[in-house]
Amino acid sequence: MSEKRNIEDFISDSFETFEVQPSEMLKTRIDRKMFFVNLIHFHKTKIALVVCLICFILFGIFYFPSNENALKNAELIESNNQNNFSIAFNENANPSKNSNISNHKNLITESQTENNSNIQKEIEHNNTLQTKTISNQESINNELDKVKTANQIPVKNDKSEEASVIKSEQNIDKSDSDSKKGNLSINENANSENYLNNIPNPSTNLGPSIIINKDITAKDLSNQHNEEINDESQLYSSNANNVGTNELNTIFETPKLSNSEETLSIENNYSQIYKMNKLSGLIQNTELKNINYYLTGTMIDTSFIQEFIKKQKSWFVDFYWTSLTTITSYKTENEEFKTLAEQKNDAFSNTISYNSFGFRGGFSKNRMLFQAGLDLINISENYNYELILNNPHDNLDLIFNNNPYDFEQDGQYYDIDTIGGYYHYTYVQDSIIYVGDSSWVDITELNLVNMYDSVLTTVYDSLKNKSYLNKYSYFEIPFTVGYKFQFGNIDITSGGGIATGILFKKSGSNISEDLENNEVSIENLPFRKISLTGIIYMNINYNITEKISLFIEPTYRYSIISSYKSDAILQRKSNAIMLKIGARIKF
Amino acid sequence: MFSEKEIVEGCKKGKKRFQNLLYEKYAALLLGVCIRYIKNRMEAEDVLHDAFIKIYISIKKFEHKNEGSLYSWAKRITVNTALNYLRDNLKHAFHVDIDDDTLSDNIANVEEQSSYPYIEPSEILKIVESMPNGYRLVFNMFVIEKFSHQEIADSLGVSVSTSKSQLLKSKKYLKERLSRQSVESNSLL
Repeated sequence: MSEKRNIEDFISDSFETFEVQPSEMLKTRIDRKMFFVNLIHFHKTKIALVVCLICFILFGIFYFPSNENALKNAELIESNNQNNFSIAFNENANPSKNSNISNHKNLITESQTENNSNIQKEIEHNNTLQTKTISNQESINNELDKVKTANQIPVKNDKSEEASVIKSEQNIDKSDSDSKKGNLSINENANSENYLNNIPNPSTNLGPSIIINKDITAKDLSNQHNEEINDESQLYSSNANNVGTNELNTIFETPKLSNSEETLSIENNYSQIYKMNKLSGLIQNTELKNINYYLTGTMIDTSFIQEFIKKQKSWFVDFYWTSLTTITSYKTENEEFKTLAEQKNDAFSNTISYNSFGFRGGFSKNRMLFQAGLDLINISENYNYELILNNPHDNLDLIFNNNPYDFEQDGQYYDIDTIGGYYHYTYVQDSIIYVGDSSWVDITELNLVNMYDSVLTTVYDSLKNKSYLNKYSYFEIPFTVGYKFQFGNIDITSGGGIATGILFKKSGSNISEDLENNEVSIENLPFRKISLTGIIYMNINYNITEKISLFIEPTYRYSIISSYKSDAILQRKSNAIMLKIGARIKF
Repeated sequence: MFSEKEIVEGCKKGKKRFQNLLYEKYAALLLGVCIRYIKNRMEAEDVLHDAFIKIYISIKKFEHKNEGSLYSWAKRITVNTALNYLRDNLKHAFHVDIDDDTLSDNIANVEEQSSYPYIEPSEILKIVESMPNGYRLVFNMFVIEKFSHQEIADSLGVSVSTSKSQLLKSKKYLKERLSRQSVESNSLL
């Protein structure tokens, strides 16, 4: 059965509940897309936290290994000292000094096999730079024969000279012309162990040592590096680069004979040790691992380097008490609520809280400090409202005596004169403020006045001089990075970081944030549970003993995100000035 | 069972569970809306996909007033998404059949009330889909979505008079088709 209907209604009714089931694939596509959209739009805070943590961790990871290089290098030097062979530069050299000259045998290259073909060409080209004297003729001849056989490299072997030395200059370019006599070592073998086995130990045999300085041809690899080294530590080097049976060549350097004036007094001279430390870093950073370095005639005891590095590296724990005062501000994008935000800003007054405390652990490396800990932050805020107009409601009970502007109420007669301009219709009766909107009544429109303008009255309850104390408690985990300056017994560290916190307790009352200004518990206000705070601090630390120190730490912390939820009408940020006083225990 | 308000609150927090509830509740209805604008099913699903993303993102700004307001709001977003899609993909869709002088003679006939037999919505959909783009868009927006002619004109970038004439033509077209359908139904009986 049909009924007469308009075609619009017919179609509209037909489609009112019209459904088409979407495919499963559509849901999958939406879910896939929403995975990222949700992250970006709804979990920005979490992402920010994770990114900050990752950055913090990465910074630590990349920072520490670079500084570990120095320590590793120092350890390497020491281990080589234990296994090294000493070179007597001349027969009069002080054996005790010589014994401290280390050879980085472990630094003999592993990568040179890749460059052998190029190096062979250079060796052939520069073979006139090579040779000269040997003392242990038999062993050297054997070694040289091996080299010749393996590489077909012509090597001069002047057997007539005895116990003489080829000493290549620190500048490799000059090495062919500036040879000097001295002790020699041989560097013929593919690996340092063989080499060491073949070399007479100068410490036990003060007879002439042997060097076959067969190759200075790594100059294009090492010139620049040598310049740096010469500037840094006045190194003297000579390179020997042999292509052995395993097509491995070795460059090693011998130090120039030191004189007493150049000898460093290293016992307490950290600056020189630091220089060595830098040098170690240089060694570590270069790819020329086959170069050994020596300070000019300096006997470096690497234990000093280690001591120096250890001195720069320590763990510590801080315990502190904190006082703080907050500066809270409200703002909103909603025009309707801007008055409320201003009202709250005006009412806010600073209060100092004295009951926050915490502890943190930290790691100091060179001058950098990394700290993380746990704080209990108690924040107090005071709000003083001079006048609160709340609980607005319309009052329509006014009695009019047939004249919109003259009326009688509670035995009183009100004559509202609108002639002469518009009248803002406000009066107080029984502690209630009445606001009548007659603002658009104008003398020129006297006949057009709508009586309802005057009839509609908004009534507020008035609360005067109300004060509210609000308290918030956060558990916070701060991560900070600082840089330390040392002035005698006082360390001054400045730095910054972030703190993530959980709001676990709040108490107090305040006015509601719905334009009705009713007094409500702050439990009902839209606080976030999570806080994210930036921290800037300056720590002044006085060292009482090597292990214990006292510090005072002015800190400024600022809210990175609003304390209120993102969908709240008002946005609230609470910054604070803090003063931490505590003790530091070092390990 | 969650109320509409609870679903809205959950979606505002980006909770997946409530987003799924919203999808399950309205996806079929909203795809029905898309199908009215876009004939091709796959394209309609693409539009619904984009519409749901917009709904999930912009629900933060949505204020729930009463039961049913969520669907109205979601439907509006879906319609706008469909119109945007058509605007991007059918550039000349809105510029068809400008005022026809001969049309005015038939307006009275169109506005008459008639009796229509029951027809399955899917059959009506076929008739609606068979209309030219301009007819279909204006008819959908005016009759089903309850847009005003001014809103239609603004949305489609046409004049108000064009919107009106398209509506009249579409009504005439539909009436003819439905009458024919009715005759065919009777003859079969």
